[in-house]
Amino acid sequence: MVDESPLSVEARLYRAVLRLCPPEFRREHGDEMAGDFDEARGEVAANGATALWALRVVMGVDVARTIVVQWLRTGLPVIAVVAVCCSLLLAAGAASVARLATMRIRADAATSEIVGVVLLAAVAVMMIVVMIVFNLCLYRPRRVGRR
Amino acid sequence: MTPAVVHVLLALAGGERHGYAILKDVQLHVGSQLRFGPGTIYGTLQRLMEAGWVEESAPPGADVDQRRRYYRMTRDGREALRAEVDRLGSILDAARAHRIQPRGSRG
Repeated sequence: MVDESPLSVEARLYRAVLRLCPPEFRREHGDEMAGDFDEARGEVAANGATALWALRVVMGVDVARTIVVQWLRTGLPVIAVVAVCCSLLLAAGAASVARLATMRIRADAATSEIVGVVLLAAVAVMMIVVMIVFNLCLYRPRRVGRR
Repeated sequence: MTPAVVHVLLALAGGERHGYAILKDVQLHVGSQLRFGPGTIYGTLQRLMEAGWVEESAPPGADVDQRRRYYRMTRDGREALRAEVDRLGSILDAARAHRIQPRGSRG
């Protein structure tokens, strides 16, 4: 914790927005960032409303960029995209096989519907499984030594 | 090296500093050309710590704010900064050889 004095409403709002950052980054720097925002706001407030609004815009852009950059750095968005693509490819393959199978056994409409539902469920399960597998294989939390 | 990395390392070249002091130092250097916020500064510090160019240090004295975390540049960080400054220096020399003057230096 940087500052034990209560934060302003704006700084608390800023800290609430920081909840959109990856938890690891937020735990490491969230309190300091909110404290710095509050201090900067206090210093700029004396220069008038225009300066305060300029600071709000800069901080808003900065926090938005930080959220995107920090999530990208975790590698999780890439893992999610790869997992979804893999699952869709597997589902497309399974759908082709199922279509051939239902054509051979001359399934009625009800059976085709059941096959469709089973396929949808299979895609959902595959997405979850592939996501877990990629997470276990690729995701490594960052470690920074603290003194 | 990104501009943020260069400016954070330059801020730490003067000794250990806490995050807000780095932010103010960087803003003083860059003026209105680039606007950095705490997110950029702490994100950059995180990357530099992972690279081993910056490390956390104990507060430099008893009269400083003990609640803040202080950061300092490592030897590797100083060497990387020196290499980057050399690189930028040679770019500046090349630009001057082509009579491209930095803004503000024209009489």
